[in-house]
Amino acid sequence: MAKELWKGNEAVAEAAIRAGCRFFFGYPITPQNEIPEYFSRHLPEHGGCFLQAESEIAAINMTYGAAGSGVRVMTSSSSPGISLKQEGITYIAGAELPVVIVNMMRGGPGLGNIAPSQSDYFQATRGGGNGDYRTVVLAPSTIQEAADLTQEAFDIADVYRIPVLVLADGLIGQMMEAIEWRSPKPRSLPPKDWATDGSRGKRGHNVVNSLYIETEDCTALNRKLQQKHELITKNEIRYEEFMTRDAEVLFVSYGTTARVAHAAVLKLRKDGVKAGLFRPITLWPFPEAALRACAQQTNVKAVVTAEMSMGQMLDDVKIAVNGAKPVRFVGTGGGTIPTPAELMDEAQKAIEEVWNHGRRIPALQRAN
Amino acid sequence: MAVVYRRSKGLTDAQTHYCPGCTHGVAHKLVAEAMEELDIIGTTVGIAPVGCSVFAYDYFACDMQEAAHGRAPAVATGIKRAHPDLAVFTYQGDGDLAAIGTAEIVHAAMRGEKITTIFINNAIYGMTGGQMAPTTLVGQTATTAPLGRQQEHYGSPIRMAELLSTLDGCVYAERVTLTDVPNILKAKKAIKKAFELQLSGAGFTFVEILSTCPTNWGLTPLDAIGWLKEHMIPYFPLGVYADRMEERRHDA
Amino acid sequence: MEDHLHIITGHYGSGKTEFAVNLALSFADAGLTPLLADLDIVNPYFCSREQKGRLTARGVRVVLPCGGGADVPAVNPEVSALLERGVCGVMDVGGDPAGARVLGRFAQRIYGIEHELLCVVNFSRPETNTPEKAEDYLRQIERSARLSVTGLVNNTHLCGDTTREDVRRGARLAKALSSATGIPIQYHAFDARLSSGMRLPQKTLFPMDIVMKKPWETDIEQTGK
Repeated sequence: MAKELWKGNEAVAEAAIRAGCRFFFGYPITPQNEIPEYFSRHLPEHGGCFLQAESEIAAINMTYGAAGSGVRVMTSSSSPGISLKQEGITYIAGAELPVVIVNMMRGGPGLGNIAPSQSDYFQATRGGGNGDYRTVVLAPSTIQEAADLTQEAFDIADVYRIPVLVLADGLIGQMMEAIEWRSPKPRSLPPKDWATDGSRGKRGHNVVNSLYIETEDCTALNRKLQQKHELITKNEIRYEEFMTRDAEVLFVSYGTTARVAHAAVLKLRKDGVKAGLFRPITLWPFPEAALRACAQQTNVKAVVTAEMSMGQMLDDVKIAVNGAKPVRFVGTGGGTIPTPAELMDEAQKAIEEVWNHGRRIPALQRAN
Repeated sequence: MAVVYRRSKGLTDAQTHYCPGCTHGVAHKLVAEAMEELDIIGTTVGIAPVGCSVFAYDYFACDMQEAAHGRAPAVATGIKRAHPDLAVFTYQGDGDLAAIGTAEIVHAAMRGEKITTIFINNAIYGMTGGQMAPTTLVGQTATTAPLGRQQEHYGSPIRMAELLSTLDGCVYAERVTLTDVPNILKAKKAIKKAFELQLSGAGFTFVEILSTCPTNWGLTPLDAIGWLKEHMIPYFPLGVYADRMEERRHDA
Repeated sequence: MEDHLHIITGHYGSGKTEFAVNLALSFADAGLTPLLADLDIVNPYFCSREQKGRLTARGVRVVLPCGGGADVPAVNPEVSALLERGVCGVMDVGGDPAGARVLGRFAQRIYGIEHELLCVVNFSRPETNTPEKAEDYLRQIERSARLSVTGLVNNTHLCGDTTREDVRRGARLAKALSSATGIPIQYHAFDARLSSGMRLPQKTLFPMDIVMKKPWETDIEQTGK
């Protein structure tokens, strides 16, 4: 099939429809409005239902209800709206419902602005609402990947009965790139025999619930969730390495920042600096072991974490690298996108720092 | 031997946790009987709230979902839009529906969401131990209004049946009570009618049930009924506030 | 001919802004003093306002929406300057019928001056990938703007992945759209790097220096110099 030019937000919505999502509940917020607008135009053609809710809170609870009744359903928003949805997300996690949530992040805190940002990393990867739970977090860095991962998000949600967050930023939502439509690798999906879709006299009543008033029951739920989290960590980690085999300075970046880092790597290589990029695609589960192995390669002298936030993924990078190599941070907050030049400067500083600590880097001597 | 009384098939065998004399049990029974008589137990999903009836998902024999506090109408919307063939009802108290969930109930009614809401108004927060509700009467004491609700501080109680009846999408709104057999029969009729209208696709249907809370009111069950009649009914008058299908029949 | 108002409309992602900016720059290069108004009040990113510095430096005066990059872009009253006779104006209107709606309020004054309403079409966008779908959009834009489209701009592209064949395929579909609507093709717009061997009518060729870049593309070029 010929390539088509798709805007990120529209590609995400179309991907959901292709994945069999027929229900969408949302509330307007920039820069993700093209998602609900696309669904409002196209879900009726597929016999589905788009509903603009009275708030993000109502939207996530409509999503909960629909997911609990066994259908594929999605909601989307941007940072302040995702904060409002956290109550619903923790209930969805507690009731173990398969739901896909899209966050096209914008500048914060508070009302912030409508420019792209990655400052909801903590909220996304640590759960976000109350209680001990995680959401699977998929972080696309191209429109192609946004389309692919959104489709697959529905399968992951169904397989593990867990909320899956597609975490991108306003730039990915708004920009356009050429993409090809392709289906995710088929998975065997468990039957939704727990759904509240009417017992019809054929079974006992099904209950969708996150209330476990007896402590031993709630403890058992927490253990079960923990086991599920471990299984996902074993099966679903994804990342991409770019020019890391001989890299001396290793960028760690995701989403839009990874695009900038990618450009910085190419430019640094042109300048004779062996740079590489480790790009987590799943932010939770974080590719901790893979990053550790990558950073522990003897050629890697320093790690540079680059984010459109003031140092959030940095924590996970430090845990992964575990002191094996120096970790520097470069980031921007409040809706600013770092430039390749800024990342290159930070890479140079990282190398100089290592140099000053007396660890000589042969390749750099050559470059100098 | 003749069967004089039989537990409705709309209820499970679980023993309820409600205090003796609480009217929740009667309200549950009426909802269950309405489902049984309409033969929709197997095609109904109920939504339990946060409040004293938080465990209602264990008591009703139909499929059930537990909602976050106040969000039952949104959860019900999600289910109903995904499965228009199912009957969907919410069962909510006054804190859940008239305080934290006001936006959700108003907008579900505005959209004419084809669901039935059973609203238990007992003028107090029971679950959390007797705090003031939006329906607590002026002068009525509560643990967070030790001197009684003061109008200048909290305004006057909210009348939900009247408020929702102004919305075109709300095709049926009635306020009933459970103080005696005639009123219980009226309440049953209202609940059944609400379900029937929902099944006909008419729109949003609402039954407010004035209820007692002997424990948090500090009254015997009988005195509680007396208090309800004396204080609540004058402020929350019983009756039909919206019956748009009836109006349409008249207009035709 | 350049001494009148050019209004640029089209579907989201048709490349209106790229074309509008390049059109204004071509007028400036021809010795005129063009006035470019960003009337995009629906699209939060990738608007001509992002190019203000570059445009001003090359002799294009820029009128931005009030509220700048805020969430509530509002029409700048200075837009009226473009509606004066004898002004070389370019209006970059928001995408889709939603974006064209803003023209409705100026329609009466626009009737009174010489103007071109150009509809930019990208046949690589899924919602305008056939002449039929493109015409449907064009008509919606006309209704919303309360003005008639006077010319078509074939700007078929896939951003950085565009090939000459994409532009030629767009040209074939644009011809069909032109025959169906009776609206002439004014320009075939494309990345100037694809210029050689384009083989389309000379007077309609409009090679563009791509200015609306993604953040990582812009910087690389600058640091590369």
